[in-house]
Amino acid sequence: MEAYLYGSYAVALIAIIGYQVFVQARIKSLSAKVDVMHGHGPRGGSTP
Amino acid sequence: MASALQWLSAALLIAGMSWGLFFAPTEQNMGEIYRALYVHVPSALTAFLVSFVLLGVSIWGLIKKSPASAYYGKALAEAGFIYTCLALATGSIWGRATWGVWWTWDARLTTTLILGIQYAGFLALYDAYEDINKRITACAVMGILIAINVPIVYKSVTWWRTLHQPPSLMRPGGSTMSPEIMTPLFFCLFAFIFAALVNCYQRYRSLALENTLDDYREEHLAA
Repeated sequence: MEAYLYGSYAVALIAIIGYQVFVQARIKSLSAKVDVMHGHGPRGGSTP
Repeated sequence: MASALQWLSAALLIAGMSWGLFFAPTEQNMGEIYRALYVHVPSALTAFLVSFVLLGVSIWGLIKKSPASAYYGKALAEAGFIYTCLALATGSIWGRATWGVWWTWDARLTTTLILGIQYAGFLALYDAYEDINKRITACAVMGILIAINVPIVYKSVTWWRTLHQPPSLMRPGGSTMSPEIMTPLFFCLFAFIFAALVNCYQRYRSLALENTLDDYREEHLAA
């Protein structure tokens, strides 16, 4: 049963932090697109 | 700044869970499995708290018809859905250890499942409507229904005869938990709520950015 206990902690951590990582990646990707739209080029990188 | 808050929330979560899993004392009656408490209770209470913020956002949406209310609503509903699923999953594991079953149609479990379905329904409604006003209205109504269900979930253990134990934290006469068990629980609760609020704000930002891009594409397609 302890394996289930550790499993539940792992699931919680992966769900919450995984969601954070997804949201952060989405913001980064959309910000780059908005910058290109405004003609600034992507932040921190070269213009494709 | 927002990214730093995300790192802080991740650190708080890891610290709180480590405290609960490795350093909190073993409970005499339930043994080690009681440690599911440090994930189960914060998940459930965070899902409840999110519903009350969602209620405020829904009322704001109905009155002002602001697109921002729809974005905040979706961000909150996603968080509510995740935390409700976590509460159900961790509760199921705890139930298997103490009751011998993964699932039973107990009043607390069933009303919590309905809460999860309501959050999923909110997300489905958000995607179902192209027209922003219809989207705001439909989501706001669902947001209000979610907030109505939460007191029913909370009181289900006292209104009906259930397998689930009665409230341990907020009960008449105060909690019976020892401070050694309760302190890490409050720390985990704070960490979960903090993570949910930071995530909701970040998700709102990403949805607003998506909207900016969609508007730009529509303008250029129309031109």
